[in-house]
Amino acid sequence: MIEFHGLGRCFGDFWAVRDLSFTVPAGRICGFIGPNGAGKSTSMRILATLDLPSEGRTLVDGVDGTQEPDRVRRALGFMPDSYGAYPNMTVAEYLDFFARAYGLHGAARAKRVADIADFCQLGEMLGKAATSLSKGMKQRLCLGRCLINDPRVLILDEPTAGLDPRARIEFRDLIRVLAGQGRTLLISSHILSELEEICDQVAIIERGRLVAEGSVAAVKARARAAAQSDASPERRIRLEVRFPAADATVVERTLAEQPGLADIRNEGHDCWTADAPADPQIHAAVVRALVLAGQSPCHVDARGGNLEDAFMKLTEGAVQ
Amino acid sequence: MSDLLGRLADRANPLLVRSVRQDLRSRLFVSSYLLALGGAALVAISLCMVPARGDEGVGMILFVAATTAWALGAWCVAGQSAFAALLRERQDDTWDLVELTGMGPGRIVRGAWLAGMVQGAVFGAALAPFLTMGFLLRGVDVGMAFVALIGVPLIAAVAVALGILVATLPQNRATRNGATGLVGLALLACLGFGLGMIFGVGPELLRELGREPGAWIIVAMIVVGGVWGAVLPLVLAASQISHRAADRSTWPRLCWFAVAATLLVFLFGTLGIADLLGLRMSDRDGAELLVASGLLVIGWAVVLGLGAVAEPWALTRRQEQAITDAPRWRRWLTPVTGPGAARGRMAFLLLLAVGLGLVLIAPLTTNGDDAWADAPVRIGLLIAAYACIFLVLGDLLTRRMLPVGWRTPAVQRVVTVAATLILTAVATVPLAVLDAARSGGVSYLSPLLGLLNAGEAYPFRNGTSAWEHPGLWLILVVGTIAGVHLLIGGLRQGIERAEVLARAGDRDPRA
Repeated sequence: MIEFHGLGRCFGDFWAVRDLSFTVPAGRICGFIGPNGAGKSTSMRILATLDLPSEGRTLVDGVDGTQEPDRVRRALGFMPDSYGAYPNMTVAEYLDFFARAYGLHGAARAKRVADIADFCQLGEMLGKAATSLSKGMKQRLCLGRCLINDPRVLILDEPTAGLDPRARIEFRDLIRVLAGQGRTLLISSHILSELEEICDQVAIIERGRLVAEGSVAAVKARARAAAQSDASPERRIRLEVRFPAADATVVERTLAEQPGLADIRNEGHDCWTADAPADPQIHAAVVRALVLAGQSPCHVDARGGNLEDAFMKLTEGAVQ
Repeated sequence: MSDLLGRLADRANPLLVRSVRQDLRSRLFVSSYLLALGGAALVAISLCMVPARGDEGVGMILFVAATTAWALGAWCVAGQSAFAALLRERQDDTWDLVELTGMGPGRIVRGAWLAGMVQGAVFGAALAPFLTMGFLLRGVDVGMAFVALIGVPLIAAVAVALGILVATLPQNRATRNGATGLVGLALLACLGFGLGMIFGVGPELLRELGREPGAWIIVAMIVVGGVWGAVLPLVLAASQISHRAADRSTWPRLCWFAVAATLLVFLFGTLGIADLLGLRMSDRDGAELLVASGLLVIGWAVVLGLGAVAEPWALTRRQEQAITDAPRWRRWLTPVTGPGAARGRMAFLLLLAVGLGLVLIAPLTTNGDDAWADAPVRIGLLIAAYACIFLVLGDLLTRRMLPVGWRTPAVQRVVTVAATLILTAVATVPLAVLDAARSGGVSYLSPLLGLLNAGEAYPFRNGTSAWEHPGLWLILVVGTIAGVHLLIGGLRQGIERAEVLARAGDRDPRA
């Protein structure tokens, strides 16, 4: 379990994090979201006992990181946003070094390194120089390093940043497997659609302060509520229409003919989105027009709410 | 045997294993290794082609060339590698990764140091055939070869430790660059001086050893001095790179005591061995040895006190565990070696008491030669009194008068030194102008003039003895009060838990 209690960190007069409090129950995955400079990395470094708070505290499995950093370190794996490579070392030597540092000896160490290499699919790379790996492979190696001590809690800071779509999907699968093993994960990422798919809960932070926190559904509901309280009669939402198979030309022509729709986008995989008024009658008319045009929409999301939308509604885009 | 080596390699310091793997592949090592090997080979071939010198001349040149190449590799290349490795580790985020593994700062610096020593040994192994050849050609005698074989690794140990210490200095680039430059110059000086010692003074010393039965003690002192010269920078480096520099445990202070103990072991060892060898020391020689050792211990205590008295009263959880969970052999030492201001005061007072004890014993061994024995006793007492006074003054000024944010150990040390310098100047200048220093006891109100006058064995102008001066007694009484104040603080041995928080001005938590 991860707990933040009134966490604050100031640098001179500048508060990077202020009054941050939330909990990630054991075995859950929490997405940690915020604009650049919002204080995510600072909070994660304090949680990982690599920095001290100016106020408040963080607990990992009930152990205070400022009072007993050594116990906390034994329980967690931290993957910072930078790689941390050593020159003149192979992948096997890199993993072996960390296994030694964690106190593994003899056959146990060799088995652990082999298991990690197998899990992260690094088997063929063991003899290669660690610095020569591709970005995706480096991220896998970093994840492997985090897992050497078999931690109950994993803190991943931007683990998929800079990865191509395939590497990202493969990395996401690894995270799912880790979650399935009952580990608690705190993941920060800018790719919100990805977090939405794998996270049980999210915490949104802006200017060092917590803006929203809870299950993905609860945060989206809160964003919807915030949007509904918006008094503007011209309020607009994002309408998403999916098809099992679609004729792109027909769909785009039909959508373009609908009154009130704007910014029509083909999102790929037979999915289109459009900026639409928040009027259910208009949504029904869009579906009817598509059916009459010979297309069969299988999914219409008119709630205006994926995690990205919620994030945009709940934050102001302010950086510090 | 191979099984044992395998087990050793398996349990070796992780940083040692990693650094050796990395260093032996680095361009710096490979190029300097080939250069050293090629240079030695070139010298050997050249000497073979110029047969004018006899075997002994050839052997001498070959041995000196090989030792110089070894020294360059073991001192400069290994020292620079250790420095660069730790600096790289500190600057990159790799430091965080290593720290998260739970490897303590001590293990990290030991690993880096051992890796440097392994590099030096690899240089030595490569040049060993040339050294052997030089020796077999009777270029050098056994003594010189022995000094070279001991001297090069010993100086390498110090050079590598210094390189590591500099790399752990605060993240301020200007400070580190300045320190790096100084250490670079020191290493170059070391190279010249060390080689001079090995080939100049070394054999001479060994020849003396043959004639003078006690001379080997000087060799032993050099060796132990070298060992401490390597150990102390490593301990200081480890305390610099701990997660929080303030979160230190007992080791730095334990080392401090160990240095003082080594000094005393030498003192009594020398006396004992001299007695065993039948060398009769005069009473005065024995007393001088006691006084010199006592004054050295007092000086060592004052430097320790400057650091230890300034430490915070409250302890971090880790410091607390260093006391409560100390192994049995160390538990009884924690009231003086443990961290924090209270135990720091006790450490200072204990070391001061040992030093004063040695100084006070000295007159008893002179059989009534009071004229000599008086002066060092006064000097010792005055240093101790002034040390107590200024440490208490610095403590009171910092903890009671400065704003909360300024009450740090570093500020307290600066305040104490500044107060000492300012008050010494303020007291010295008028006394010197009035020429009051030599006319009576007021001179003792200035630490500088007081110490100068305390060292004089003859009566003052007005015919009085130094002990009759009320100024001396005034300082001793005030010093005793300050000492008691420190002792009362030292008796606060309970554990006060510190709230571990970042300071507002913290930029880099690792600094």
